[in-house]
Amino acid sequence: MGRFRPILRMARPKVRKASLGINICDQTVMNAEGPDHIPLFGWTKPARPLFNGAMSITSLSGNGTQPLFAAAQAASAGTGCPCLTVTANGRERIAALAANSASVHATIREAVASAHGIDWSGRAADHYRDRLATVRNSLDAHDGEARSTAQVAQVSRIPWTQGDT
Amino acid sequence: MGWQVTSYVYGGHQLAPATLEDYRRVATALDDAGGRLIAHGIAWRQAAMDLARDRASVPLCPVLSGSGAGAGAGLGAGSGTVTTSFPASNAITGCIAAPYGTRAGGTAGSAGTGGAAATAGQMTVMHGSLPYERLIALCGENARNCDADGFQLRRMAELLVRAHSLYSEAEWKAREAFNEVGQAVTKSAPGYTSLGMLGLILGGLGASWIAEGKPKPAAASQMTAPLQEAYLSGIGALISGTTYIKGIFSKDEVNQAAGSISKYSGPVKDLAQGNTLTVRRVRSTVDMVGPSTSVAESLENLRRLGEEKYKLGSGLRYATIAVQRYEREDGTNAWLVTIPGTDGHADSPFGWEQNVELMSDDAEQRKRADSARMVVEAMRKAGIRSDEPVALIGHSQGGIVAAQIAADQSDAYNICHVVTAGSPVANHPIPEKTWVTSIEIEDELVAALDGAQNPETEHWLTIRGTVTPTPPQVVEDGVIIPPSNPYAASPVTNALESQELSHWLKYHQAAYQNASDLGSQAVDKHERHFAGVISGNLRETLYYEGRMSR
Repeated sequence: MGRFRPILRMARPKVRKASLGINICDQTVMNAEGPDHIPLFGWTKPARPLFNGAMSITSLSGNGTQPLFAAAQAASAGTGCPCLTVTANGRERIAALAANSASVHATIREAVASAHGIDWSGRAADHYRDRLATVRNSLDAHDGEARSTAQVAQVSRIPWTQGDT
Repeated sequence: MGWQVTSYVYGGHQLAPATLEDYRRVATALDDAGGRLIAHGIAWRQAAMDLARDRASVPLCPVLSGSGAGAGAGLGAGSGTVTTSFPASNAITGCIAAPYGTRAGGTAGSAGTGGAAATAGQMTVMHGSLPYERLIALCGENARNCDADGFQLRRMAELLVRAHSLYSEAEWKAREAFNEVGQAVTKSAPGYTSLGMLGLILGGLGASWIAEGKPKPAAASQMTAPLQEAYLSGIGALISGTTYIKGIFSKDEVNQAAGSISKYSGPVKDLAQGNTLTVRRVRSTVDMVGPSTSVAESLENLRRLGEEKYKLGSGLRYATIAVQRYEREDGTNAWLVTIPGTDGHADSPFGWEQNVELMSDDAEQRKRADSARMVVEAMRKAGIRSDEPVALIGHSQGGIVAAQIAADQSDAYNICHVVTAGSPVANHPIPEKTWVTSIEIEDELVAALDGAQNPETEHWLTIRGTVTPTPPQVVEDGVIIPPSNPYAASPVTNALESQELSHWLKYHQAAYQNASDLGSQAVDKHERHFAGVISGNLRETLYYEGRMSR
């Protein structure tokens, strides 16, 4: 057991009592007395509360969850809903991927072209060339598919009128 | 489920270094291209996931959190404040969001492709949406296309690498180094290594017992396959007393050990079986060994002679070999000798003990092996002259005999080409003038009994097969979808459903088939050389049977 102690020690998280549930991040809160955060606690920095509107779901990319009442706030304030940002980001993401497809496919076409011309004969070689040709043709088709995906994403956004009394 | 063999080619004719380098570059570029496409597919798949998540990212937005048309219409109807409809295609371009807890007095009009109407006192809120369902489907489709093409390119890169043996030299050297290390470890701790091997054997037997209901030796052989040569050479070094230093520079420890053992096993065998060899010509009622123009055909003839002579009612019995005379265009003769493997009968020259003698590092001991004596005697009786070209093909012990004759009878006969299938012949001193085509299966054990790898030279080609289960057939709408790369492996004809020992000749035939399909220049050159040796018309096929007596 003794030989594992250093490993266990390394694995044990270093958590200060004072920081539990409080010092989650080091962002400065401008209004320390505001209703939505915990006030200064001893020498620790003010911390963001656990469940405020800016909390995001874990993600590798893209948008996080928008503030819960952002849509309602936007409506009452007569401004745009956060969904506009979300859709705009989605649109950009698809457009970027479609543009990247073209460059990826171009690189692959070069590799396929150089691989096609090697000196090799026989049944396996015929199969090899046949498959390379198939891939080359399907790359052309995929270029078009990527473009049409981007076009589908490029739908306009239109203001809608909401009655409010 | 059947079985298939994927072949790797070592030795034989190699491409020029510059050409090899070019091919490596092409293979790497293809592999990279495949990788890029697969990565691009992952990006599309990630985009699809991001879009799906986007829809839930503004929880109280009636557009995004709704599910398109249905949700939009429902919101309008349910709140009574929004009267709107969305296109059935789910291509929402905008909507009305009702301030929650309030009532709207206006009407929002219909959406269609995005029309809007506002009345006085109403508040305009901008919303946006995308045709998520469609976009997610398109992203998924793009991802699948990228995957399919990416993996296809990688498979083609792998095919290119195998067909031209682009990395065979490095693999061979790595394996050689592994064997040397394993030999040293086995020699220094034979108890532990033997215990480890025993554990693997029992593990293999146990696993096959669980999977197939009974223990299979083939599974044990498969488990130990990577270690067999190293372990056997270590045990050989122990028996022969090879030192660590000497062990690094020599490869024939097993043969030295076989020499030491056969000093005792030979006389014991003579006592039990006798040492008088009788070779007589016999006749077959069936054309067991027909004309051949290739290694593949000769392998099939070898299999028929070894495995089907009883089934076909040929009248031939065990320990029978075939000697064929081909007449060339210039009137000269060429010969092909077909030699099956061990049969283990009590009076057969192709018994078990003869394997030990044949494996000896001492030429005189090898020559004394009954099976070798029988084949040489049959060749003499058939009238093969010392200047006439001869090709030998043998399975298992038959292959060792072929290698022994090529090594030890090179003055008496003009052995031009030797084909061995599942034979441990790495250390037989076969002269340069003889071309050797060795076919070995990774986990067959017998081919690893030499404890070393075959020489990797221009004239010595080794085809090494790996046996795997055949993937299940893909059937779509009643149509069988062919495999994406039919040259990735060759099916084993008449293989059992369950795992069997891959030492059967049909596995070597599948390995050779796969190697031939690759269009490898090394295989092609050896094939042409073999065909050249036996070119001409088959004039006669002579069968000889050997028996031992006191």
